[in-house]
Amino acid sequence: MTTFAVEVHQNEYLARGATDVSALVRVTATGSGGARPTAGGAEVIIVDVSGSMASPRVKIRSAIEATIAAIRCIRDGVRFAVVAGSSTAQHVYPGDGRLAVADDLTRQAAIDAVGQLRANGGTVMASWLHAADALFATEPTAIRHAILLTDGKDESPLLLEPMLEECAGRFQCDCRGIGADWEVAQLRQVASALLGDLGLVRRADELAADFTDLMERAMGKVVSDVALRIWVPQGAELTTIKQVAPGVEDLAPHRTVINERTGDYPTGAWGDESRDYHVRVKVPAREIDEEMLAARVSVIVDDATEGEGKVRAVWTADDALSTRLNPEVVRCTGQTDYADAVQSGIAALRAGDDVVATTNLGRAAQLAQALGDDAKLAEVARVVNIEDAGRGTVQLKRHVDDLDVMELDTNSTRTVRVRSSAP
Amino acid sequence: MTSRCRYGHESEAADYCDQCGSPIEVAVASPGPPVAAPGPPVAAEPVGPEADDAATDEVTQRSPPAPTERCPQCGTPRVEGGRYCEVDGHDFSPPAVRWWVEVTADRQRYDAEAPDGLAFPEDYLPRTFALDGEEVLIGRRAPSPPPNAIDLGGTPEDQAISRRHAVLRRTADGAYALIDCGSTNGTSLGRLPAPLEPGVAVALIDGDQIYLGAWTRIAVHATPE
Repeated sequence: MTTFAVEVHQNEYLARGATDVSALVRVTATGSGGARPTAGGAEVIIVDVSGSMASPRVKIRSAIEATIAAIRCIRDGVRFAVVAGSSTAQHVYPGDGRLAVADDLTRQAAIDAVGQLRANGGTVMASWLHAADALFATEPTAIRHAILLTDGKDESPLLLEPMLEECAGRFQCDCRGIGADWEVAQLRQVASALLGDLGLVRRADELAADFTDLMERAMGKVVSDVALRIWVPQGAELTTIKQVAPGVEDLAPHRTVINERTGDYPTGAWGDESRDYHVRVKVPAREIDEEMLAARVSVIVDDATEGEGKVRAVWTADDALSTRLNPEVVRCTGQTDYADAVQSGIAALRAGDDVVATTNLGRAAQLAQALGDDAKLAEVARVVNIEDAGRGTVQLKRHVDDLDVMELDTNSTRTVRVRSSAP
Repeated sequence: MTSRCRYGHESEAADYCDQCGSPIEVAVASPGPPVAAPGPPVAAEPVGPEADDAATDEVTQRSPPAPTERCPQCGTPRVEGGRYCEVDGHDFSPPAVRWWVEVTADRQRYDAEAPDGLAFPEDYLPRTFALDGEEVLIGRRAPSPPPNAIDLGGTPEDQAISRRHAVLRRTADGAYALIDCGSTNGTSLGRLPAPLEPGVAVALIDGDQIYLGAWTRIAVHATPE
């Protein structure tokens, strides 16, 4: 039985007249260990087989190998299918518009079918997602998860957007880009809309390991359709609701209105894991020594509250209290600021605005250093020459590998959490 | 069971008001007088038992369908029990502002206004009154004055003040407005060029100076608690 615990990290003390309450809300699920999803799982693997996958030849071979690796990870009893995507979607396995039940026989049959794939045609992701959605519709009560692998840019963004709206909330989809010809912002849009994770696979031979990893995580999910419900008092406004770990993800666009003061934010399926959210509320100021509940954060599963955390505000005349910074909150704002700085910097780089690019990437270097995140600092250093990370002074490189820029961009929203010493 | 917060909101949640987020101190269903709840110090705690009564009165008055209260800024009807205007966030009952007045004898007023035959009270000691309740009468020896009235009778006495001279009426946002009751000699507000029209309410602000009678000046104060 999975249980959810909600921890709130904040400095609840506000100075006179202050209205900004910031908190890090950590939700931890435990107890799913070894449990099988009660509703059963459904998995669709979507692999790009557009013409571009044929060059270099190793790309389609790697995609096939990765898909096979993923198929091997599908647990017995899970319903699954493989879809090949080009200008249209092709049902590769089982092929009759349904999902197969995983066992040794069906897994082998799927592997055989995938081995026959050839690269050909264009890239219309909307058709792939539509096919996945139709497959999942045959298992409406299952925990529905898809993996989408592509190497190119979607050719019909006008179709893609409404399709994402259509599919949002029906299944989750982790996205992987391979090579340097896909567009980070576009695939991020797909992953965000479908509550999935975005990743860049630099070398084709890394793909199988990454797919195995993704699939293992997907198979660990046992509770589906978990939502965060956030209440704020009258006169208050929820100004930020972002997941900050394991990745930075703005939840605000996913809001479902419960009532004027309460909204639900879908978080998809959970296994044993912990996720961090940055909650920021603008409240009407009160007098010194008054207390206010600034936000009530509940975990909602099947319309029942499974855990609750309280974000409080207490006004104080004591500056020593109100100016104290909560290290967890500092860290989480650092993560989101870093992602913003990187993305603004790269957008400026692409637009040829060197001044803005230098400023933002300098800020990114500074934040990465402050976060103590050496991996991020190294990623920034591949795109700019860092003169002084502490002061955020950098110089643009004369020649930059496109893949390095894409990797910096993709990973900007991924966060490494350093365990806090606090309980 | 529902609870009630210090602003009179009903709340399903028993820890914090599910409307305004205030800590819940007293459960409605609990019999007997409200007990001071333990917990964080509350600076704006109303003074004395009268204040508690006033809060209870306000609640009872709200039970029958009262005329819809509207936001004084944008006219949007107030949501039942809601503290803030849903449109512009206007605070209908801001906490912890204490309204009080200080009555003094004003020499300039006397020199400009006083009819012959009235002496200026050189020995007038300023008097302060806390404003409390929906209506505060300003008058001089009014017959059976309400307990919260500002009675300016008693030596030295400004003879030019009417028995029922003016009223301070609480406004939707918890402030006060001044209304002249049709007094014989009228009421003025320092920042306005002409005396008040009888029966017309003028919202008061902190620092306002009310002039009435031959030499009476009432300074208005709104102090955060």
